[in-house]
Amino acid sequence: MADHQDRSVFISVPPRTESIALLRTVTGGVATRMQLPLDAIDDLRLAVDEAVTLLLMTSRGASRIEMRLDPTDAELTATVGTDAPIEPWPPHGYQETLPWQVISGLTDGAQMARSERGTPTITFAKRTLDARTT
Amino acid sequence: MTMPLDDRHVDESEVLRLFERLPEDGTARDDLVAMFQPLAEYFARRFAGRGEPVEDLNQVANIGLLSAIDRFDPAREVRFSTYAAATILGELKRHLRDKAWAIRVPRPLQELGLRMNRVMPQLSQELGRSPTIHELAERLDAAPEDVLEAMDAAQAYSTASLDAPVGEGERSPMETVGGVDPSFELVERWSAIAPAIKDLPERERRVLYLRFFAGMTQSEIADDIGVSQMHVSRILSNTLELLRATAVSGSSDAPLLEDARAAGADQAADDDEDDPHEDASAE
Repeated sequence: MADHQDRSVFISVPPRTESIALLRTVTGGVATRMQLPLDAIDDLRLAVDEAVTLLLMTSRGASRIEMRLDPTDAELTATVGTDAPIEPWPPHGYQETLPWQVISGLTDGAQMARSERGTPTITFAKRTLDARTT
Repeated sequence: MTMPLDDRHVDESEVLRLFERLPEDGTARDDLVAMFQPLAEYFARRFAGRGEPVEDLNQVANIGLLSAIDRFDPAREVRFSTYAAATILGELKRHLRDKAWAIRVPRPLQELGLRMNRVMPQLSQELGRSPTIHELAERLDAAPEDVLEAMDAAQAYSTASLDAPVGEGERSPMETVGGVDPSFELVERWSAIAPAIKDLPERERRVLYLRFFAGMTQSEIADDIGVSQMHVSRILSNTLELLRATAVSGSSDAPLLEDARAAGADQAADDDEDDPHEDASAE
């Protein structure tokens, strides 16, 4: 099946620790519908947990945590962010922090960037079985 | 949300002085409680939203803190903040496992979870990799959603606290004994960002090493250390959670971690999981 449709899922939750479990669940729900092995789904959920925790701890004045999931035939990409700026972003020396080591170690193509609004985002992906064999 | 403690707030020598005074000076205990209260509250918040009132979680976290104060041995080369973090985390997980999750997991899901545990290794072997949820659902003749839910339930239901003995004849994960192991590289690389790493038990370190440095998948690690993939998943999430709570900022210009990390440091070593800590709640 070709990816000519936008299959993305977007969710916005309050910046509370309780939201972490919800975002993990949503990630699992979307991943379930894809050709992703269980351990890859688990990696993705651990990375979501880590990224959201990082945002919760770092951002001041955020009123929402946002997550976008982009499933394609090749991979599932997750982007999490907040609606308030964090400066500087990416933070100085972030490569040498535990959250980054965990997120980049568990997923493919992890990066910290900014949305068009200038708000901080953390993006990472997990490749499907289809993408790995071809 | 702010996080527990960092080195600006906790003076390690002050902590040790308080512990010296502890036997004969009742106020020392109160001071320690006040000092580490944020850590207890932090962990209580981490477990909020799972059906347990926050006040209850706070109380359980405080019991963990009190029992950490009562049981901490300053002669051991372990920082109290790490020891307290592990004890509080263990207390909360045990509480949720015993009181909440066990009751809330519906029976059909529990049964599906058990069947899943039986089928998973078999299926993994046939496929040569970890199955997808669809493959698992097909084999179990269940809906993918139910499989996912059963996985979450199984995870929650059997969540072992880090200081719970992990299996027959196995040492408690927190029973730190060091020794030579191949994850030396991991310890070297991560000790600056997560000091508790060097005191993790060998198996936990090995799992982190294989996942983050050797690039093995959870299923491959499961084969390597002889447990199920779901068990590896639990080890990873529990260990990362502990490291996260006890991590310190690597450099002074890391605003990323400012007020976001526990004072963290060395690992706690503790074992008597079943101690109900009755004594600790009296005050």
